[in-house]
Amino acid sequence: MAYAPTKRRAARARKPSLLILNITSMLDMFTILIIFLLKSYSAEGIILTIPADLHLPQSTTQTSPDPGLVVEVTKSTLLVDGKLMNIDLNEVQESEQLIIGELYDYLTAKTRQYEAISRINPEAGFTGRLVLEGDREIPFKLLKKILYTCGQAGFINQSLAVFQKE
Amino acid sequence: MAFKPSHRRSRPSYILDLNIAPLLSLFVALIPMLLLTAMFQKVGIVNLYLPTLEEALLQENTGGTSKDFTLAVSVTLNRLTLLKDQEVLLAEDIGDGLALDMLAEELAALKDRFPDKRDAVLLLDGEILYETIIDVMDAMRIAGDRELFPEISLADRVREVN
Repeated sequence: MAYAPTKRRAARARKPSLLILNITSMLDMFTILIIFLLKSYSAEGIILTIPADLHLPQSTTQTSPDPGLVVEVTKSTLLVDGKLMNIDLNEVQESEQLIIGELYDYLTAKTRQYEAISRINPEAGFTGRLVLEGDREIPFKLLKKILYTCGQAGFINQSLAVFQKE
Repeated sequence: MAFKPSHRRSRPSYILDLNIAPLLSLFVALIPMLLLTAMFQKVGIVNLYLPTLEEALLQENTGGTSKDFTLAVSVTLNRLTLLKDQEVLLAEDIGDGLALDMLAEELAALKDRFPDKRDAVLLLDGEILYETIIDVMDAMRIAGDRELFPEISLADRVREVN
């Protein structure tokens, strides 16, 4: 004769007492995400913020940006350290003059400011560093005028911002 | 008659579960932080070099040593030219795209002959786009893992070079 289990024991086997959520797969996903994010994490901090309508060109350069005066050139606007310049870029492009008057005045004022600061605090010397964030579609005749004006105003340490290729 | 099953066997089998709840809370905190600070596109810079007055004078006065020549790449809308002083080393018509690999080959050969030379001039037409300038500068600066002529200065193309 077979041994019959009691009714009580059968009932207990059907209904598990503790409901455990299975989070193993979520954990797998999290682990992959964490590894990916840690890999792409940069501890340098963001020195340059790129506006959404500015498309930088791609380059193979490995050099990281240094802090300096930021000049942003989109297809229609020109910004210096986040301040919008009242300059018509189309007009600048077509003009025969190499120097952009308004930009020059603004930058010379900046240079004087930096020099005044470095007189008070010699450690904060004026390096003339400038980073140009240019849209990939601006022509050289515009770029040339902007770089020339910046150079004339004392910003001679010029570099161009680009997106790094992988 | 069957035997009564032993008590040892019918003991409820405990599911041994690792307690991963604290790990999960760590992930929940870390992931949003990393997602917020992640930079999916890294920004780098390309340095521009302006020839200093001393260098310019030196180039005019001494003509003897091997690296004292002007290396220039000229880009117009339809032509890419590589010049060593007045000598044309490469002249390519630009059809569908720039012949940058040919330029890189030619420059690598030049670098073999003059390993100390580091500077070059990029002569550009007014209509050339910024993106193209960066592409040409990339080709002039580095080929593979090899550094070619990283000190590039930009210049306006004032005279016709053929």
